[in-house]
Amino acid sequence: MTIYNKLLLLGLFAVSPLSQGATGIAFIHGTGKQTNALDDYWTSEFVDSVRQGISSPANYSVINCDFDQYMWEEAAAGCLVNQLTTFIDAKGIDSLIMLTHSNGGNIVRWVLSNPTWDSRYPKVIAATSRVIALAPSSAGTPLADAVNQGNSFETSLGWLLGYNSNAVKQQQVSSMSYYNGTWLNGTANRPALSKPFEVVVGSDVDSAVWDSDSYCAGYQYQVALETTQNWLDDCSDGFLECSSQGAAGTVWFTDKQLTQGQEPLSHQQSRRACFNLDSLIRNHI
Amino acid sequence: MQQLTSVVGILCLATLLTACQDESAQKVQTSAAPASPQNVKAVPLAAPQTTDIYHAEVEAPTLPPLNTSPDYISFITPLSGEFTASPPQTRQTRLSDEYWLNVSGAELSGGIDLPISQASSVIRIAPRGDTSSGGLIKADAIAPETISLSLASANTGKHEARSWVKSMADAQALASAGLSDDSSALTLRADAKPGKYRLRVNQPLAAQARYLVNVKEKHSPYQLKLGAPMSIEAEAGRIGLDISLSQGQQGLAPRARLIQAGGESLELAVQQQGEAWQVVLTEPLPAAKNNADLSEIQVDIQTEVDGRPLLRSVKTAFKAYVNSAKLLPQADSRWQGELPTGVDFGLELVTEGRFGLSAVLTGTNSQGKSVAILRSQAAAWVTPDAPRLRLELDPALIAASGLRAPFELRELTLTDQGQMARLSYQDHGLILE
Repeated sequence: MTIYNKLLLLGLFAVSPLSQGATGIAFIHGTGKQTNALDDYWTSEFVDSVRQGISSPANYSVINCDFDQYMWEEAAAGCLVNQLTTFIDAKGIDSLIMLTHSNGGNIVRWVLSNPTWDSRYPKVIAATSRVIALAPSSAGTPLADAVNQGNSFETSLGWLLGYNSNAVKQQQVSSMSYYNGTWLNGTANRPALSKPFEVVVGSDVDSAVWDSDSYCAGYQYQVALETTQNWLDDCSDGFLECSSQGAAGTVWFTDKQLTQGQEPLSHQQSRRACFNLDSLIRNHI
Repeated sequence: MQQLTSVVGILCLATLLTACQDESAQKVQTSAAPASPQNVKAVPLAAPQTTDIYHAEVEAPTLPPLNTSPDYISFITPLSGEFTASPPQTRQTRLSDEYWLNVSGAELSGGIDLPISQASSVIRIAPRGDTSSGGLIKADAIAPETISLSLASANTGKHEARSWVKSMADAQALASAGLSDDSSALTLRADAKPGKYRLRVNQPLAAQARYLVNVKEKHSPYQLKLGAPMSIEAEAGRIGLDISLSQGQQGLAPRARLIQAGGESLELAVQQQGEAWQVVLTEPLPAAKNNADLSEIQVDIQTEVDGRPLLRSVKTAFKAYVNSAKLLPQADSRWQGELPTGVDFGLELVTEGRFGLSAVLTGTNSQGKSVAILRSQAAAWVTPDAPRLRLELDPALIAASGLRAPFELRELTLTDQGQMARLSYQDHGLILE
């Protein structure tokens, strides 16, 4: 390569937007109030593996918020954008990859879909390059309906009994249908999301006691998820139907298409280093 | 020297390209653009069409707003391609192959009848709360191994002693899978016959304790369908319901119950008109207790199919709201030369609140087709004294599109961010030319 060409490339690189910031990845948990999501939700094994996929693996953030609340509430979306803004500012991030699991995908879709709700949202949207949504509950789950069902007392005060959080109420199927039809973008016949929303779908649960694959992320969870599959379509990860997971954005892959040994990813396994999921994401980003 | 000139030239070109990329990104403003020398033209809104959402009357909301931010926020997203409007979904349909019963501890101890029409069905029993004594009493979880289930003989009516249970899951197991309400479940065998089963709990239960029994008949051919509106305005006089049972239309006598946001519940009178059903409201809907929750309509049916009893329950959520504002029929468009820079809308409202507007700006290409240029969104705290909201447009994006007038605002939508409700939608909002 001549010096002239090198100079040309150097000059182009110097003014390229790519040279002015950095790529970062944020791990955004699902339903629940997390204070140590790294250990309690994701595991270091998963996070440390995935973040090797970006040029500066130190540019990562594990979000800890109260996603027992409705997605728009300060403890949920407000907390999320506060932590993302701190991360963006501290690391100079201008290409943010958001990796979400389950209801975390809905919180992110809320922010992307409603930039005028809160003056903190636009900055996060501008920095976001894409979202990778692991088993997102985009169209809700019949299990949320089952937990919420009861008399009017249950509907209003079930949280006193330790369940029926607002996040669970929100993820009832007909509730998500309303939110998808009015406040959330990315589903059919709605405006597209302004950033790519790539979905990984979990399609089944293996709980055979003799199959070592059933033990990834905990055998006891697999057995329970097989029971809850009775409330769901034949294609489900034990908590969400495949149709719900793929309702918003575009499906990147359905577990067996790419996982090691063509293993399915249960809802517990889709946030763990099971069947090469971590390396699939690492190589994708 | 010639090479250096080329490098500088390419650097300049790259700088321009960078600027172009910035222009194509989303554009944000946190205050309305200051007045500048621009032409202002009054422009009428198109008349609402039958497929639009529109209410003539404006009322004051009574509940505290969810969003009280005073900030003006404008957000523009570039679009491209031929534009096709996506009218908002106004109704949704739910299907059910399950039913729910509310029972007492005494009833479970004495035994309850459960019609089951499908093999491999699941029976879930969930303890619920009771406040009838003045305090909160939570029922105990039920150990699934204490549940007995028998099937009444179709001939003798006697209950067969055989076990029809394939597997059991206790509260801890179900909680680990997301059913975190202390419920336990039985799954019936694949050869379980349709019929009337008797379920009895053989552990001590408080007589007044409340339980929910949920029978899920996966793959049952008997699906109860409920179609209902997704949003209901407070002054609505009737609610149209679409109720049907697959493979069993005869003799439906649906009972409907409204569970208003915040928990108040009341029975609804369901009337059949031809093949449709509707709820006629003699009074306005009971007021929601908060803006955050959605309200629900639950429909239960009890019927017979092939001589066997069949129960089904289905519910759907909707947003109950009051029409807190509407757009005035004339707006002011602002222009820089041939290009629109924004539209100021007037609002009719009774009380202040945070309102949002969004629309897609389209232009006309050389073939005369409508092509999308951008989506503009804006929201602000609007008061009756200054009832205006500006939707910004981006002249640079419009110029870069190469499209010409007539420009049009499509999918013009007014929302109340305090109620989280969509107040109006017009496919064809207004024409800018």
